[in-house]
Amino acid sequence: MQALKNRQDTLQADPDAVDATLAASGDVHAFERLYHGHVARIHSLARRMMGPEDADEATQDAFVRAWEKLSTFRGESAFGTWLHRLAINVMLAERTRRGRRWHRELAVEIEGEATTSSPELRMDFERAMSHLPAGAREVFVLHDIEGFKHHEIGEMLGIAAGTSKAQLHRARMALRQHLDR
Amino acid sequence: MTDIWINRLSEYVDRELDPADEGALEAHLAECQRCRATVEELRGVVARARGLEDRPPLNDLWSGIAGRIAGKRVPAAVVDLGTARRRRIAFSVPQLLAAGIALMAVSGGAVWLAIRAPVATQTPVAVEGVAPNAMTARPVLAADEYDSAIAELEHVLREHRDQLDPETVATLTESVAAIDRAIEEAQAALVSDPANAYLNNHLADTMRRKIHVLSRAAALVRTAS
Amino acid sequence: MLTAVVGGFVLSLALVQQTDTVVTVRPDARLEVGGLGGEVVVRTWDRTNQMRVVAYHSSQSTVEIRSGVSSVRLEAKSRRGVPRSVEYQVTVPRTMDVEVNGTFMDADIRGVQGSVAVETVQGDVRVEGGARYVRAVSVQGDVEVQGARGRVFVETVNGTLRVRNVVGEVRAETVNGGLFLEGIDARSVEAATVNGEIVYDGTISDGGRYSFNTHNGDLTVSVPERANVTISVSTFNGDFESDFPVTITGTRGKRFNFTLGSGSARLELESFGGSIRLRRPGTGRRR
Repeated sequence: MQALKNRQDTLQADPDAVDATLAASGDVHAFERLYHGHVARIHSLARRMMGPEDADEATQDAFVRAWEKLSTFRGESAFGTWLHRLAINVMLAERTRRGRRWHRELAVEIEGEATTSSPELRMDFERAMSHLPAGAREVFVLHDIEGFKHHEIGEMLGIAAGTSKAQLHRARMALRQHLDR
Repeated sequence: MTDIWINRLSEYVDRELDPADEGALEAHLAECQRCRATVEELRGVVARARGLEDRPPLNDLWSGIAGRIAGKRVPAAVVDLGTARRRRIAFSVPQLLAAGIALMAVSGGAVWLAIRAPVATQTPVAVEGVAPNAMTARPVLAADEYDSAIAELEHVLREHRDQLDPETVATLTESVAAIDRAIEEAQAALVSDPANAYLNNHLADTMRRKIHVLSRAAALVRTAS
Repeated sequence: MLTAVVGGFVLSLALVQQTDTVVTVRPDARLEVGGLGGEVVVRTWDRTNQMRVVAYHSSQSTVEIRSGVSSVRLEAKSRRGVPRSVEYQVTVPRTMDVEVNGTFMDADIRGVQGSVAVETVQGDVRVEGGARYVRAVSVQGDVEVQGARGRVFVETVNGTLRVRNVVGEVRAETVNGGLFLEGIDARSVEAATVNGEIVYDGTISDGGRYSFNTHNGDLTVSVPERANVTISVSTFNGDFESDFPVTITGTRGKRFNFTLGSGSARLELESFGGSIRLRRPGTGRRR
C-alpha cells in the first residue's frame, strides 16, 4: 500500500524524530528540514483533495498548523504519519468552511461504457481526478490513495459508510477511461 | 442494459462483499464479459491510484510558512528570578523588548535573563517579484524547558547507553563534556557581566547545542533498541 | 573499498559474495540505502532509467532491492540477526535523489544532480555534487560537500566539516572539529563549532547573512574588497585583527560593530576564547 510511505527499515527509527524534537523547542531550521522532507507528499495530498489552485495555500496551512501543534507530537507514530493526518484534518476543516466552492463537474460517465477510450478523453490521470465531483474525489483520495476505510471516511466527511462506498465506485468508474497506457 | 451487479463491483474488488454475495457475483462474472472487463478496469484504477507519485510544489512555499510561524513564536513573558520559592514575576512582552531582553535560560544560575537576537534574513527568492522575508530568529525556550529537556535526554542516554557502540558513547560523552565546559566558562563570564548580550546569547546557543547533541544521542538509542 | 575494520567485524574474502545487477528506475526516483555498516559509493552515468547495484557482502546476507514507483531501496537481509557490513557501489542516473542511512557507514556520493541526504553515526561522508538539498550528517566522522547547488546542511559531532564550491545556502555545525568553507557563493551561511576553528572564504553578498560562531577556536573570515557589510564582532577572551583598516570602537570583552561600504550584508563573528581575523580573499588562509 503506497498510502503511507513507511520506511520499513528495522535498523532505523523515525529519522525525523530529532528534528521534530528540535522544532518543538522552536528551532525553525529543524522545521524547515522537516518541511523539505515532507512537502512533496503533503502538496500532492493537497492537490488531490483541494484541487490544484488551492493546493499551495492548503499546504502552507498544514505546515503552519503542524508548527503550532508540534508540542502534541509524542513520537508514538512516525512524524510523517502524524503530519499527514494533521494535514488531512486541516484540509477537511477547510472544505467544511468553504462548502463546495471548488465543485467542478464535467459530464461524468457513471455507467460503464466501453473500455477503450478515444484519445481526446485520455487525459492525465490526476487531471481526471480533479474533474471528479468533489464528494467522489475526496472519497477516492481518502480510500484508494490514503488508505482509509469507509467507516473512517464516513466519520471524516460526515457521511454514511454506504455513501462512501457509492462515491468511491462512482469515482473509479469515471476514472477508468483515463488510465495511462 | 442494466446490470444489478455493476454497482457492487468496487466492493468486490475491495473484498468487502459478504461470502454469499461474493459467491453470487463470481457466478455472474463467469457469464458476463462486460462485468469482468469492468472489474479489471477498476483494479487498474486502484493500482494507478496506489502508484501515484508525490511531486513537490512548483512554487516556493517555505517562505510563506516561515513568515507565518515567525509571528507565532512570541517569547513567553515570564522572567523567573530563581528564588527558593520559584516566585514568578511577569513582565509584559513590550517591557521586555524595550529592555532589549527576551527569554532565555541560565541553567543553575541565580538570575534568569532573557536575550533575544531577532534577525530578519532574506532567503533566496524563488518566486519572481516576491520578496519573502523569513525570520530566522534564534529559537527561544523558557527556562525550565531547557532543564527538563536536558534531564530527560540525559536520562534516556544513561538508561540505554549499553545499547550503543562504545566508541559512539565515548564520542557523545566527550562532546557533551566539551559543551559543558563551554557552558561553565560562559556562565563564569556572565557572573561579572550579567547583562552582556553576547554572553547571554552565547550561553543560550551552547545550551541548545547540548540539547541537540543529546537529542541525536537519544535518537540513536531509539534506533539501536 | 573498506578502509577500516568495521565494528570489529572483518569481511573474510572467502565468504564475500557479490551482487551485481541492473534495475530499471525512473530518472527522478529516489535511491534509498539503509544498513548497519559498510560503505556506500554512488556514482552516476548517462543512462536515464537504469541503475546498477554492485554489493559485496557476507554469504550470510543477501541484498534486497525493493523497487517502488518513486524510490528504489537497497537493504541487506540476513538469516541470522542483523546483517553486518555491506559495501555498495551504485551507479545511478544523474537526476536521481539519493538517501543513505547507516550506523557504521561511510558514504561517497559523486555526480548526483538530485538531492542528497546522508546520515551516519560512525563514518565519513563525502558528497560531490548535489542539487536543491544536500544534507550530510555524522556523529563520529568527517563530512565534506563539494560542488553542490542549493541548500547545504552538514553536521557532525566529532569531526571536521569541509564545504567547497557551493552555490546556495550553507549551514554547518560540529562540536569538536574545524569548519572549512571555501569557494562559497551564498546569501546565507551559518557555521558553528564549540572546539574548533572556522575558516570562511566566499562571497559576502549584498543583503546576505553570515554567522560564524565558535567557543574555543579561531575564526578566519575573508571579506572581499568591495563588500557591503555590517560586521559585528563578539568575543570574551579573544582578540581581533584585520588585514585592512577598520575603525574599532571597543576591545575585548565587548561587542563592536563596523561597516564596510553600504553595510548591506550582515556578518556576525563570535568567538568566546579564540581570535577573530579578517582577511582579504586568497591571503593568509590557514590550510
